[in-house]
Amino acid sequence: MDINLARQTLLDAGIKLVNEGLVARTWGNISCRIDENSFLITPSGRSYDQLTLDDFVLVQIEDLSYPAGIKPSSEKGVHAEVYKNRPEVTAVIHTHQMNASTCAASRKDVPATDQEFKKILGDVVRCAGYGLPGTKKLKLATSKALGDSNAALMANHGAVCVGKTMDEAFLVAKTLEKKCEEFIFSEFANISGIKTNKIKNIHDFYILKKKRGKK
Amino acid sequence: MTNTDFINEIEKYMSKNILSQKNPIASIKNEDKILITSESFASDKSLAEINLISGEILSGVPNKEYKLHLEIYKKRPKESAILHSALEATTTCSIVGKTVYPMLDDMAQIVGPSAKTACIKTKTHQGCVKNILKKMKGRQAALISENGAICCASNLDDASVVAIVLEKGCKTAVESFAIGGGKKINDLECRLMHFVYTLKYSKQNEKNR
Repeated sequence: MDINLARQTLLDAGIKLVNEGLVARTWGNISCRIDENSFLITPSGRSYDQLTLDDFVLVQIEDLSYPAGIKPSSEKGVHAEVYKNRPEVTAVIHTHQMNASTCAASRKDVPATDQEFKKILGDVVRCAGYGLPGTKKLKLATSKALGDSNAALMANHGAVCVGKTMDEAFLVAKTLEKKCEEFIFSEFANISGIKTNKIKNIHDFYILKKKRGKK
Repeated sequence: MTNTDFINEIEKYMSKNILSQKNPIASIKNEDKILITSESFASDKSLAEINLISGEILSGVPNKEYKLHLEIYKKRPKESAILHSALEATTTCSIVGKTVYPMLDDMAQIVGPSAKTACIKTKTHQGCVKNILKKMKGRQAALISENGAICCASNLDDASVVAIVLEKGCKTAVESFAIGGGKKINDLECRLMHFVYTLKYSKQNEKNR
């Protein structure tokens, strides 16, 4: 992708990411592949609404090197690993979206339940093993969990969503959130016997069980 | 921050349910004074001003919680803003009354290694304040038994982030319980992440330019 087009794509995507509730403030990160050797990524710790076209950082896939100046996201290694293993991918989004994060906190794989899930996400969304943010352990675990699907959960952290375009990666993230919500209600029904789509029922169940002393 | 700016921010937080609609409680420190919502803020948007050193009420009728805010500012000089969160999952966890441990990295980073619940059923007001301060030690928030959470930071925006991240942490604790239970993050790793975040990452928005 042309680097100037990539800068504009990332600027727009950052705002969209916040507006769609997939991240808040400085969390998460987005990147675009430039060529087979490099990608452009959001800077570390900056609010999306304050970014300019010049704030994105060009990172080399092979050794994670970048020009002096603005530091890239500390999760650049996760992005690099995806680009290395998946030549068709040109956009990667790392989100902290709510329902996916809940599933990631449970370290559960989310299986496909319908054709929409299979078509957009794959047969299963696997949960990667836990690694501290920014570490090699997290990078390798996430890449392994992603495999050839379009999304993976990152244990106790969030999710990574990929696509052939930025729009496709966004569709993956939105679909993942919807499917994780369905998974939560479905699992809740299995455990509690309560069929519901209201969060309040889950909260009431939690209060009841915890007050009775269930750990 | 002017009084008008502060009122606008409070209304914004009320619209997002971070603060209670009926009894919003928020304060900011400005040199040797604190500005806090009044008892009647929900109806008349009034504020009260208090001398931080003497505790003297300089104007208005402060919310009953003002002595707690005064003590937090005195004992934790780095804090300049306090919000009393009334968010849904935070309130659920405060009703349960048990410590919420981080199941997500961002809670460990921003709130701290856990959110403890402070019981406020002690006989004296001073006892309550002491208990809340104890539960907040090394953390940016504490759950208040059956009454949401106290969240603090060096500015109002950061205090709102503490409230939002605590809510996310509580929501994860509640909803992962419904799907068989979440996995807590190791305590040492939580402390490490909180330390690194406080020392380095939280300053990146200003520094990394």
